[in-house]
Amino acid sequence: MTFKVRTSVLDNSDGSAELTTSDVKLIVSITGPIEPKPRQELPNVASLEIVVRPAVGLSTTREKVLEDKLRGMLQAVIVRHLYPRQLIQIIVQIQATPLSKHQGGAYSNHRDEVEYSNVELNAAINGCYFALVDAGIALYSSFASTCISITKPHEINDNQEYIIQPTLDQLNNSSSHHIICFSIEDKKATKLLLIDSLGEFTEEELFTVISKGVEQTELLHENYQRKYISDKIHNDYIWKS
Amino acid sequence: MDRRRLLGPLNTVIPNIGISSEINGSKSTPQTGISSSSSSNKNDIENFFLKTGIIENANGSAYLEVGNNVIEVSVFGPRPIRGSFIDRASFSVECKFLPYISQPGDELFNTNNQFNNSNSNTNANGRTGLTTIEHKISSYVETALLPSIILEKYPKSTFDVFVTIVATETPTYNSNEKLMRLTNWIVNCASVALVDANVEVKDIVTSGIVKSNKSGDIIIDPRGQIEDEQNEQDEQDDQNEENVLGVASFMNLNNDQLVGIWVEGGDIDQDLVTKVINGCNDMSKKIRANINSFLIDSLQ
Amino acid sequence: MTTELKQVSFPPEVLARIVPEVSLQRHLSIGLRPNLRNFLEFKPIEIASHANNITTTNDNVFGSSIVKSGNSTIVTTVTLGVVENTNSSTSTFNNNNNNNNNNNNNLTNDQFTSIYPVIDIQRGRSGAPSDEEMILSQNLYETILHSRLISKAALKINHCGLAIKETDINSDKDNIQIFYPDIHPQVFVNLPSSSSTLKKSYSFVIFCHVKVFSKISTIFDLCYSSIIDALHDLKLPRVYITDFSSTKISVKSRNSNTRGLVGVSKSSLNIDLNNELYYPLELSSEGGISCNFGAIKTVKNKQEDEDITMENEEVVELLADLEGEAEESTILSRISIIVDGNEKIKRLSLINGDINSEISLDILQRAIDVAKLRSRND
Repeated sequence: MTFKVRTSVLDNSDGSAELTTSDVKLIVSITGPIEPKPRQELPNVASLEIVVRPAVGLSTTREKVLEDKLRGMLQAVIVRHLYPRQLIQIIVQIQATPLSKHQGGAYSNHRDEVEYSNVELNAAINGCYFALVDAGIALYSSFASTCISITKPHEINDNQEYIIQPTLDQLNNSSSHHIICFSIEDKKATKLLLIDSLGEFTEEELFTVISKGVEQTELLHENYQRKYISDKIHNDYIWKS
Repeated sequence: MDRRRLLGPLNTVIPNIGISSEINGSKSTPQTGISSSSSSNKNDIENFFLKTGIIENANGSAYLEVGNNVIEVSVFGPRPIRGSFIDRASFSVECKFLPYISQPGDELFNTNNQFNNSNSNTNANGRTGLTTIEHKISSYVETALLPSIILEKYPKSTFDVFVTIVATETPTYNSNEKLMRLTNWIVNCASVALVDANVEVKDIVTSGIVKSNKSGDIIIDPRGQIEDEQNEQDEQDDQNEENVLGVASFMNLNNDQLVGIWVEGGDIDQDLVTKVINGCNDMSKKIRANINSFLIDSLQ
Repeated sequence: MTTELKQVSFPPEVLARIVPEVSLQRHLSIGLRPNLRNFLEFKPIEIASHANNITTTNDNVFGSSIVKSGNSTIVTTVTLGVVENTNSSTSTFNNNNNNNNNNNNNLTNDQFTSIYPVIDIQRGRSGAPSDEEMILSQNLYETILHSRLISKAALKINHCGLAIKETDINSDKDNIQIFYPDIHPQVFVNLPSSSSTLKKSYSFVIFCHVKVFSKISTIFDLCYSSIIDALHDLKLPRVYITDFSSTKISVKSRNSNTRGLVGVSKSSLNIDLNNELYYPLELSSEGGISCNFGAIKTVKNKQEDEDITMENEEVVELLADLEGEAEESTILSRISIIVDGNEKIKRLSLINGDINSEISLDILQRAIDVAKLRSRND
């Protein structure tokens, strides 16, 4: 599994992160807290402006849905009452998706290929975490997200397979795929923030996926997020020693 | 490419609605409206079904069924305007057909509709803006209703009337007649919707439709084929072109004040126009009586 | 001197407008919701697919459905488009031919397709679709795509007909006859020239128009039911190709009585209106029922007990089928679930937008149970 993060990649924004996973590459930029337009202003909390830009072409209904899900999730983790009448702008620029990689960069308008926009959602959530930390926006807790697909057995004797971070081919052969996002406190996944499951699955499968999600998000936190934060603090306070 | 709607793959074509391959070869004509066959007396007005207040998120609404026409009108207002001060309310009417309905007379106006646009490879669901026919109906309804509303009572406000045509008469109807009949009933329905929205009006606008044939007889509330049966011999000649069709709308106040008139057809002279107006007025009065008793009933 | 500030009290409906969260909490504390339903009670819906005549009166509509819930009315109509199959997609069909449709497990997701919905909510504004309409359309598209409801094979046009025009010299009238390779095989034996035109393979594309009247709550569930119902109602027609490229349409000039002929060259694909040849769309799986829930933290007062301690217990309550301003604006933790009659879940979307009213695994479990019960009952 590839999971590469670079932060502060953009000079003119308050925080940014570039996330590269095996399928998806994206940059998240955070600007804020800044002065909002009058119509965006909320009297007691910060308003969020979330923009998702696709890898190729202009944004469509697909990006609107990603923005909507991202907003629902982020408004629960950002301590919004710390920034009343302010705006936090979050821009996610997707650079590569499983589909665009699959087709050698050529984007097809034919919609012949089945799209898995949730894979991008998964990466966007993880990217937002690093960018928000980089921008110094107050969060209630850490959060991490993972994508798991279930492949149905072809033979009766086979077990069904749970695949973490599935590739496009694996998704294509899967019977369902799930995005699980947990909040993380004291290295432990505590609260469910978001589940987005599509396909066909049973309740039992769902709860297996959730428990695998706990493992995966904790791993992600342990291996990448913690390390990144301690490095960041070390670098930020380098003058102190 | 529309980025806000899902209109299918770019290379999709919309097939023509062709003919039927049934063994007898005749085109499967949808059954004609019950209305046209059941009308016994020529000068009777067709029964209509009216209901108000069905749209919860509008200030007022009315729903009307007559023949095969189904019309829904929602009134939004008074709503605050944006921008600079105005001392009286502004008023607008937008009339839209649901996208799958073939609009009356669209073969003439060559609307954006999928069947008639010469490069017809567009999904009707993606239509933006109004077609010529929708504009025509909207502007007539707007003109007819405008005089009745006491706009001075609502400074800095706007009233927006949205008309949705859910169903129309079958294609066997003469298109002009279909269009004008529809317009006539939209006016009646919209007047009731305005009352339902508690908008202050001077009077209720009602309207009527008449047809006059070659011999100058006036038929009140024409319903499609009645006339055609008599003139079957010159079917090819399309006798409807000779007929004069008229819709006129009135407020009873001020001596039956005429608030809108639309006449289509062959040779029109002053006499005929007077006859048409009188015929429409008769019909509008009957409808008005109906609407009045409906409104009184709904108060109780 | 101090001015005394009088206590202001508001009637319930005013309170509901200014502080919806307070109004909601007060309702919940007495065990009722603002819409007077029980916590897990759904709003009844009526589905009238066969009671409407949209399909019979409009030649271009092949399936329709009307769904009502309270005053909200959803009118769904299905129209069709045709797309030429590319080589890559035809190979998908070939793999597929041996498979029984009931055995979906061996198929990959790219052998399924979806519908193209356009949601139009009557809201007193004209212009481009709102964010809500766009999100709804896209969610419906993705849900149907991934639930493996419509296989590409089911939409393939298998026997494309051919129309042949014969001009009768005596009456000068064109006589058009349509032949299909499966119904009139003898005709196609003698028609070698047509083979090139008929080699192309086509598939249907399903367009859905969903008109929403009187929207007062979230309508994903209603739109989904309506679309599934319209798909059950959908009958696909036969398609034929005309050999003659241009058609002439007679048009009356507006100012004179003479008739003009306007040549229009359209796509040569035509829909056969012979409804005896219509066939129902084969759906690969069940649609299921969509339900939505919200979770909200309530404080249960225990002071009624005779004891001295005023103990406040915080409970997160699960509410089914959110409706009304107070619930929509206050409840941010939501679940949307689609379950079919075999207890298979087709879609689950959970967002804990309010971290204090968290949907825990227990609550999720309860919501799934209720959704299952509902799909079984319907």
